Amino acid sequence: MRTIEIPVGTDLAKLYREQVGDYPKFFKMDTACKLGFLVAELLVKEDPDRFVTREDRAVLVFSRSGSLADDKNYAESMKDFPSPALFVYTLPNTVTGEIAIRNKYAGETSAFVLESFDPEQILDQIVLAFQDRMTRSVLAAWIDCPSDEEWAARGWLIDWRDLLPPEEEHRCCHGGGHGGGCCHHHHHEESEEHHCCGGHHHEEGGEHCCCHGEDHGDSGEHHCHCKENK
Amino acid sequence: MKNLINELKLKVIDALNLEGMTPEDIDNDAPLFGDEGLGLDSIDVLELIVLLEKNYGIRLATPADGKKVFQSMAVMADYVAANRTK
Amino acid sequence: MMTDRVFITGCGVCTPLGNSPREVFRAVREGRSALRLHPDAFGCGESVFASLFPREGISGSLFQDICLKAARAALADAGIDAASPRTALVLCSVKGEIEALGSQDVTLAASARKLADALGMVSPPLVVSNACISGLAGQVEGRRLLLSGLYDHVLVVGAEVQSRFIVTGFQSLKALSDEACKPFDAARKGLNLGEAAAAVVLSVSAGPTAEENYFSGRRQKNQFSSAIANPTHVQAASAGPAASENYFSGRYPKSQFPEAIANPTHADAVWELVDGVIRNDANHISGPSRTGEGSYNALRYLLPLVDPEDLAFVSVHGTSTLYNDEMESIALDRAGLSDVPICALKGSFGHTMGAAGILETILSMLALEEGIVLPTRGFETLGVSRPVRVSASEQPARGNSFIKLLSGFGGVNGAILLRKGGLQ
Repeated sequence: MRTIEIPVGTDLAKLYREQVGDYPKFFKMDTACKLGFLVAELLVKEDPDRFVTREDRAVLVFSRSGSLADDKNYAESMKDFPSPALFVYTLPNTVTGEIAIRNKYAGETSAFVLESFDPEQILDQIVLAFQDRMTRSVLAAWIDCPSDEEWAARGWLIDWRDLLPPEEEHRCCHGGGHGGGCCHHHHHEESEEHHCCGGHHHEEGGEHCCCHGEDHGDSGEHHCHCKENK
Repeated sequence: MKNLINELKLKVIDALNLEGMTPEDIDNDAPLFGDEGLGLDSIDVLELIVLLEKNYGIRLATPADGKKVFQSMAVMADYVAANRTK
Repeated sequence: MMTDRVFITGCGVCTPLGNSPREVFRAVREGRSALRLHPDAFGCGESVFASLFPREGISGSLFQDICLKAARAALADAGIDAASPRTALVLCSVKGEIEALGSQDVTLAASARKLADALGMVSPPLVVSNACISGLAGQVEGRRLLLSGLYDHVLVVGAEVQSRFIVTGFQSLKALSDEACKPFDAARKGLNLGEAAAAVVLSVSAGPTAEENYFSGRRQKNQFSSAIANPTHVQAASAGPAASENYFSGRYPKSQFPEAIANPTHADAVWELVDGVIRNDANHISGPSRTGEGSYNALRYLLPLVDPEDLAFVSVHGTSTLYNDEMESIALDRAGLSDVPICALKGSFGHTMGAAGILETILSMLALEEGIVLPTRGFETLGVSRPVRVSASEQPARGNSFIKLLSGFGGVNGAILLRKGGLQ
């Protein structure tokens, strides 16, 4: 899972030039879309096959304000000459649209309005998005932009593997499963970590999941840097 | 006419958020739409229609009319010079 | 294995064409329309062809008023307890109470809270604001909420009222027609705006061998939540702590067969919301994809779930703009649906935006219950490049399923599949 935040007051044009630089349409966006765009850029910059069309990543955006900042700007333009370029952004979901266009995300895009920044509710919605049978990752963001100068912008990239219950996979097995028998479905006390064994105690005769069943040489060190020799 | 073209370019750059562009970057006869041009799109046409009305009192009825007038800065300037009411 | 199924157990509407689903259905069937020319509507300086509620005698918020009416009708139809913590509210709208911008907090969250309070609902309302597919997207979310085990019933309310804000906006896009709209017609020249509220109650039925599904359980705070609450700063993106707990751990009692499903009151039919999907064109922020990418992908997602012989019709978006209807015809044709009857309803009550996904679904359900495909008011001559079968007039329907298809700004496209008689 990757996470990112763009603090209020950040010079977005500067951030764009430093981190992106190749997408002039950025300057046509309203502030909320700029924030969403940048959050997404920072989260997926290093993705392989970055601009290949894919249908397996959902984009969810959450806010309390919706498109309020742009609504106000559009309403101002309404006084004499309503601006179409401002009007097209007076919807909360245009943030997801701009992310989808840039990254060629042809999967689900959704926008929700919440009463406040509620991590539990946000997480619920992210998990629910995986019910789409093609969705394998979710790019989610809280982009709350009541005006062009104030905002909260946070983003998360969550892969389906991040949500598996412990009985099915341990982080340290990296998807290897329980064939070799990491923990054999045993419960783990809160204090016990799975992460590459971390020096913690193993079942009698149990393999180190990180070693994937291989023998350890005489030197005894485990790849996971567990302190026990075996 | 040179002044008008320059003035138009500045207004277009501003109205369409063409960040970092200056009038010198826009060739008078270059197509405004399509990949070879400034890459303007359908929303830009609509904004330019607003620009013409707001600044020069010209009302274009449809985006189709717009596409004809906005072929290049030169064509646009000619049209404005001929039809402006402001 | 998810063996739970979701059903529509109640519906209600409030529209300028009628205040009950049956009333609106009859009007559409008889070719009536609420679209009129409104000279200088909302002080926009031009005449607007639209379907609007009368404003006389309205005190307070029209938006809240119509939401309440539709919601109460749907709740009564379903016969469920709105005040139960096992009943959720999903509100779907594009601009909500935007006409009050400047004088009050116009966030849709506040509108949803007001509505929830008026209905006596206690769970935290969810607002779906996904452009013109909001009504469909809300039903998709409602279905997911039910399959997660968090709720037994979800009230999904879609609503839109028109305002100077919206009308001037569409005028600036030159998207409006000054006459009654003509979906898919060769002479079409734009859309008509409408206003309405429509609501459905979705209920979950645990299958006979209901197994623990992925989401069954009790929510716990975990490291994951804290990663969401406190993401890292822009200078350093880093992997958050690993999720070490099952997300929804615990178990809710699931009703085997809620009363509302066993005894539906709104019709003789039992309607299942089989599945729903949203797909983005990933092309342009306001214009639809020229190849109908998102609509095509949405159809492609649903079609394996329906027997082609059983698909009675597709209720399309059909806004009557040059680009939308052409795009839809391409998507339908690419999906192999050019022989399936399609019906567009916006010629009867305009583009009701946030309400459309629900209002048009309800009317489609009533149509299939009568065994017909409704007429597409305003359509005469096919004006799109693909040979789609627009229902010019009422015709007999063959099959028990239909797809509701919509598109919206931001490149969104949505589709849901409904099947009648879904108990077996």
